[in-house]
Amino acid sequence: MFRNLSYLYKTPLSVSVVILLTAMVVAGTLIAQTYRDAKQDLAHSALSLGKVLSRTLRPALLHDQVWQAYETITTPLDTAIRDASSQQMFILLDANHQIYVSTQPARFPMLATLSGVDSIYANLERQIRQYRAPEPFTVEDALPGKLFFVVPILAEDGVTLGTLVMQYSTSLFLARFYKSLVRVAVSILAVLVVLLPLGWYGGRRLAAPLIHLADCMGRIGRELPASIQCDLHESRDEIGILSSRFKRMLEELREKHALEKQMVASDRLAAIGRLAAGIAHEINNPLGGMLNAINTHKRHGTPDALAAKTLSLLERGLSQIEETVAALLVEAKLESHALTPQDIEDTRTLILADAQKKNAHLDWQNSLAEALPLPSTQVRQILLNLLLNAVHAVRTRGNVVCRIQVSDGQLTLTVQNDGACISPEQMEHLFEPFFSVESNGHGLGLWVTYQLVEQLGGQIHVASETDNTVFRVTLPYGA
Amino acid sequence: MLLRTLFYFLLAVSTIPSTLANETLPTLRIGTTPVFLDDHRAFLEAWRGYLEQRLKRSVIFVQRGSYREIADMVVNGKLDFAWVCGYPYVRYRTGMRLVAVPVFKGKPLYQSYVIVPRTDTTTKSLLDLKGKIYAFSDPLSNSGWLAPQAELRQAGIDSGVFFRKTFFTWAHRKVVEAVADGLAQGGSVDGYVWETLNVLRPDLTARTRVVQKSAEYGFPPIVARHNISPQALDAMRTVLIRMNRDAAGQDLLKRLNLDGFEAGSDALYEDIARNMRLVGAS
Repeated sequence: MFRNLSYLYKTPLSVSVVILLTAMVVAGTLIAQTYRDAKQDLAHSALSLGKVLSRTLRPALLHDQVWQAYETITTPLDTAIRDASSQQMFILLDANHQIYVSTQPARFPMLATLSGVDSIYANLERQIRQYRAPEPFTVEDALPGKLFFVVPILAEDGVTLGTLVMQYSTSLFLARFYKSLVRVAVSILAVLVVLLPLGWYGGRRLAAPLIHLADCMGRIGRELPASIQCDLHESRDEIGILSSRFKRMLEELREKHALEKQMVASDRLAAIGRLAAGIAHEINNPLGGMLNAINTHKRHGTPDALAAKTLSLLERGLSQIEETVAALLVEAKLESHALTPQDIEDTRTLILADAQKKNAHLDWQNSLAEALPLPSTQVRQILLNLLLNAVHAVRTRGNVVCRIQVSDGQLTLTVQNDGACISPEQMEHLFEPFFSVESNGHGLGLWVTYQLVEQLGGQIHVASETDNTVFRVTLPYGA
Repeated sequence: MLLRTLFYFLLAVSTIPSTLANETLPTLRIGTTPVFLDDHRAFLEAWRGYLEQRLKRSVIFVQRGSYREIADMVVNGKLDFAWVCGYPYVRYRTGMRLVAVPVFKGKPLYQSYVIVPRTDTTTKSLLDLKGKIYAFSDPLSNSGWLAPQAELRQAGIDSGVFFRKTFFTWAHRKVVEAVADGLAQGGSVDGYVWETLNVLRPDLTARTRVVQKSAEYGFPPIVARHNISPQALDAMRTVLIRMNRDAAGQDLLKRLNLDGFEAGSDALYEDIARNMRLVGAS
């Protein structure tokens, strides 16, 4: 039951139990101490009274002054002494352990013995008879609910003249003890009233980061890693370590997820590419034959006007098919010279006209200073495609940024625009052929770009958010 | 300077009680014993003031722990007057002079009472208390010792073995307390003291029961040292006898539970003398 309880309750409960146990131990100690103190106080006051009385009783016993002895022992007690239920009773025994006087003469008359009065006093009498030392002593076990303080009365030479027996009801100190008990209980309760809520609050605070972490971990599997946002506890304690590990795990999960998506996308694109290439190849052979036949017929035949017109129509249609197929079948076999800074600047010149048409501002940052071993035709095509798309995307007077950077054996082309963003749904199929974000494109530009980048062993990334869409192409060279 | 001297003189004069016109007379020393309730300090102070006013000289009361000490002081001339029991008066007659005898219930006589605790309902007389613990007041008291001793002797009983144990309380009032508390199973007490306590402390006397009243004896007298001047003796006797004639005196007598004082005579104490002979006290 407790094992399955949430730490949200387990921790405060444990703290509360510790507080309660501590309070109980403290209360127990205090109560035991109070009990001892109350008893000791009674013993102390009784014995000091006994010492005082014994000084006065000594001459009374020596001179057989019964009345003086009686007045001496009755003086400390109030007038209620005659009550047999009185809480205090003093009995003065003579040297023969017979009662000399008592504060309850009716019950304990002169010359009687304690055991003769009541057999319950036999035990006490035996202890008094056996006692030889001059010091006062305490008898606790003689009668239930009674404490006896026994003070021997000695002559100057140490001979025992008599014994003063002081009987106290334990209710005397128990009353005081109960009063202290109530005080202890009230203070402990007051402490608990303060400590328990504090402990509960502290316990919950302690458990909170763990609960939060558990909640976050629970979301894995139910939600996509990318959408899990956790503001986790940062510290160097175990929960902090756990949190940072979890963060890293989440990060890795996200990366893995993104990688998987990317792999799926590139697999699909590769499949499409193979399909397109296969179809294009199958189309190209008969197409080439058909175009050759039309050409031969135009050169050597004598077509009439209608046939000439029809052939021309066929030729134009077949040419268009050839172009489309050529566009689909991105050829990397074209020989071209190494990429120079001038090639990049040429591309700028090409795009400026389009940019000016839309009054768009083109921010051009070219840090390419020398020729790179990359095929210039393909790189120019990639850059041109991206720039054309960007210029199309921006609104009138929009901004297009183009950055060319070289570092660590990589050429990085970054094209950025502040036009409308690409939606996540569009992003899924962005590089597929015949897919167009805009209504007027044929949808092969990004496909071609993608194929070119793939063929050059590079990578293309796209990120799009409100008013900011960035295409980044990295191409490795040399190595 | 002169003013200051005059001031001190006036101050000194003003502190002398105006009643003490005759300053040459020394202070009168009067001994008291528990034949009456001499532990009532306020009463003693009032009576002292009364006597000073009437005698026109300063008076002090002297108290001691037993009858014997007061009797000895009178005989030795250390006290001018004393209120003692009839027994020491008879015993030391040559050393004392009779001044006055109180009048109680119309007579200069009183009785000795035998009392037992209220819880004892069977005892009928002193002779029933054989083997009991018995309280006497003072060995020089008639009612509190001599009278019961004489009675036992008359009955042919040796008082030394008759009781199991006896003790003295040194005051009649304390005999009543000892019996009331059950410390003693019987006691002899001055009948006048018991009756007075019965008025002042009925709760105390209610816890005792009077089982026997003795024959009447001469009331404890006021005595003087044997060599007192006749003038002083006369003055004291006159003041005492006339106490019931003025309001202040009557008030004091009422508090004493007495009717007054009379001159009295030695004949009143013949029975005590007889008891002494019987018991064998010299």
